[in-house]
Amino acid sequence: MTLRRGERLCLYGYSGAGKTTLLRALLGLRPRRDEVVWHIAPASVGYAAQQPRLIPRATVLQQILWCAALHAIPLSVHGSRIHELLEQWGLQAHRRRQVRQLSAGERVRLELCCAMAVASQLLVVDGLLEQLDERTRIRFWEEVDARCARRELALLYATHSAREAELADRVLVLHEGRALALDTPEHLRAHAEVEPIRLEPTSGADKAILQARWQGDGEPHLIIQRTPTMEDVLQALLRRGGLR
Amino acid sequence: MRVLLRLWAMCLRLILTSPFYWIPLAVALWAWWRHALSEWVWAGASAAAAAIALSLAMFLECAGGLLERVRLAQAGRLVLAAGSAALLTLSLLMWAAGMMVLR
Repeated sequence: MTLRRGERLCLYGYSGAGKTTLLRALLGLRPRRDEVVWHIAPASVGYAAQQPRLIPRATVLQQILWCAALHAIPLSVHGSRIHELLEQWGLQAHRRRQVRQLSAGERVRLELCCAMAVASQLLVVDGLLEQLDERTRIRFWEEVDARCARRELALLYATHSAREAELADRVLVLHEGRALALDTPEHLRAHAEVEPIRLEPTSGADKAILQARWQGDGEPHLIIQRTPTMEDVLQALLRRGGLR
Repeated sequence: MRVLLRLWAMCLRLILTSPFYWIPLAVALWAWWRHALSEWVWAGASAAAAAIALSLAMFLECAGGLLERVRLAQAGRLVLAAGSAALLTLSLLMWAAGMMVLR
C-alpha cells in the first residue's frame, strides 16, 4: 500500500477493527512486523490522536506554539499563520484560556489544529472527524481539499463514519484486524448490493386514487434504487469475507 | 534558535507550574534553614526537583502525550537541550537566591 502526495486515504471499519493500531504502527508509535518506508521527514507529519494529547497547564496559544516548535516550525505569536489557524478552528476567543478549561469539543479542535499546524506533507487523523461540529468539519475538508489539490499534503485518516469515508480517494476497509478491501469508494460501491426501497400507499383513499391512475402491473408502488453507502459496502464485504 | 527558546520556555513553564517542583523545593528550603546546608546543596536540590517535575510532565501528563509528540517529531535532542537549559537556569537562579536572600 502506497500513500501518494495529494491523496486522501481512509481506514474504515467498526470500533475494534484495528484502525488505531495500524495508524500507530505506521507512525512507529507501536511495534510492527512489516517495514514502512517514509519518503518524507517524520517532522513533516501532523498526527491528531483519538485521545487529544494536550498539556492541561498550557494555554491554547502555547499548546500550538509548542507543538510547532517540536516540529522545528518557528510559528510567531504575531504572525498571520497562527491567527489563521485559530480562526479556522474557532479557537481565537479561547487563545488565552488554559487547555484544562476547554470543553471536550474544543479540545478535539485544538488537537486537530496542532496537527494541521505542523503537517507540512502528511496529516494523520485518528477518528476525530466525526466529533467535529458541522461548521468546523466543512472548514477542515475545504482546507484539506485545497492542500491536497495543490499536492502539498496527503491525508491518512481513520473513521467508523460511512459519511467521512465517502470523502476519501481510496478506502481501506478493516474488520477485526484484517484488511477486507482497498479501493476507491466508487469501485467499492460496485461490490455492494442494496435492496431497493419499495413504497406503497397504505391508506384506502390514497390507494384508490393511485389504483385508478396506475398503469403498471400489480399494486401501485414506487421503487427507489438507492446508492450504496460505505456501510453497505462494509456489510457486503463482511458477508463475502473480503474482495479476494 | 527561536525554536530552542520556545522549547526552553515550555520546559520552564512545565516545571514552574508543577506541584512536583514546589513541594520538594519547600522541603529542601526547610532542610536548608534547619540544618544550615550550603548553597550548592540547595541549588542541587532545586535542580533535582526541577528534573523530577519535568520528567513527570513528560512521562505522565496526558498519559505520556508530550513524550509521544516528541517521539513523533524526532525532537528528543532538541527537548533534551531545552530541558537541560531550563534546569540550569532554575538552578542558577536558586543558587543566586540562596546566596543573596537566604544566606
